[in-house]
Amino acid sequence: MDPPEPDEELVRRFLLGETDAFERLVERHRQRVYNLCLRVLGDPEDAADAVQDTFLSVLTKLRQFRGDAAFTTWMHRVAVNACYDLSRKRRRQPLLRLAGDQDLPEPELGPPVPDHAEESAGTHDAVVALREVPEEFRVALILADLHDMAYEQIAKVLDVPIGTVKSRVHRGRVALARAMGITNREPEAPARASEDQP
Amino acid sequence: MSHPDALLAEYVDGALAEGERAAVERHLGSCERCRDEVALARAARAALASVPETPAPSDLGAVAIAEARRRAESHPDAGAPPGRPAWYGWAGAAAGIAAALIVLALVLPHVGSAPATTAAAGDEAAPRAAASPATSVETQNVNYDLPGVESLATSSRGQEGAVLGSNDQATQVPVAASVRPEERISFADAVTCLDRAFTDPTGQQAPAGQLVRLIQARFRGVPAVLGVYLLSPGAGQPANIVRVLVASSRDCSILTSTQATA
Repeated sequence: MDPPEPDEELVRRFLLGETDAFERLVERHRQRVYNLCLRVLGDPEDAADAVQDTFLSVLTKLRQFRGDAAFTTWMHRVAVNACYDLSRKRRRQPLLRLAGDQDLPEPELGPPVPDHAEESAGTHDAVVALREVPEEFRVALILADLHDMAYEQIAKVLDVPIGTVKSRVHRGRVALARAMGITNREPEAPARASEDQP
Repeated sequence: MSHPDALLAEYVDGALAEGERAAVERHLGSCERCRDEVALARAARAALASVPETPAPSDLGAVAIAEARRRAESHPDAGAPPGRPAWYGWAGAAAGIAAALIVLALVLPHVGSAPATTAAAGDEAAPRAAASPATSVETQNVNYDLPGVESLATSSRGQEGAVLGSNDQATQVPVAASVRPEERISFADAVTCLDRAFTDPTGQQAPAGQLVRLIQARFRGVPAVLGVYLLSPGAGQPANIVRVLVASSRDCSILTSTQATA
């Protein structure tokens, strides 16, 4: 079995006019970008919008990609910016929806049940609690602990010093634990699930 | 006492070198705050480790793929300037001519004519059938959604300026989401963009009707051009249809359209 074609080679082929190469890039990274956006924004519809914006931006800006960073790093930066843009938009959304969205349901506080039906209560707590973590800590935390991205790469994605990334990750972890209701020194997050059982 | 937050992240990861780890542990021996935080951080890290991936919808990215194909089919050459779609090359040259022709077509019928009196007297619901053609781009710090565009069509039937958000503090969006200077689009490019997005591919028919407003704003977060057109139902009837066409100002793809009839 041949090794997968590197992203940079797909970019090169796309720039030579091979549309299929772009399609493969989208298919390869769709899952990862969607989960990033879902955890950052906390809403599946918003996440889908942000992913569409991400890939449209990638399509438009791909000619500006110079290869001085890995394609995945560059694409994550585009995705994070798409999330920030949508997040800013959503903060104003209740005002905009006055125009005629009265029939729409209230925004959910967390992702819908089907996405997490198989998860334990502790996991669901973590997913919901993520939304209470300040955004800049949350993004660093998601990239580090959910996407297993190295701090150095996160620093390139967020364009901040690596020390700032490490601090944000630590502060994000502490904020998440507190949002989950963990207050003592023992890691009791997983145990919370069993407390809910009969 | 200063607290080594940056080191604490790697300490929790178990990724510190021996010397740094020993230094952190010495600090932890005398700092209750950091001991608590390390315990909390470990709990959070463990909780996140059990969060599964959520399957992405299978059609996610389809819009971008379709757009890539559309661009490739319409402009198979890959030699576009960096950062700009290939069509900018010829569109830029054609825009001036197209805009001049469109402005002439819109303005000439009104040169020397009586003031706007085409609408039947006393018919308050009649649209601005003889409204002035658009000759400039209105820049609005508004992020439209579909109801907003529909409201734009409805309000444009009879009340000039009564457009959702145009003068409404409640619908202003933050500067970061507004139209950025580098995204500003000229009148000619905006008209060309709408024409390109909404030209019938088989009949080569540009959007019909009289362009009465041309707005640059955002639609669902995407930089957009909104054209408000007045149309007649035909048979010599006065124009009583308002159509709003919305295209992305980034790539002139169709974002949405709607119309309202008096």
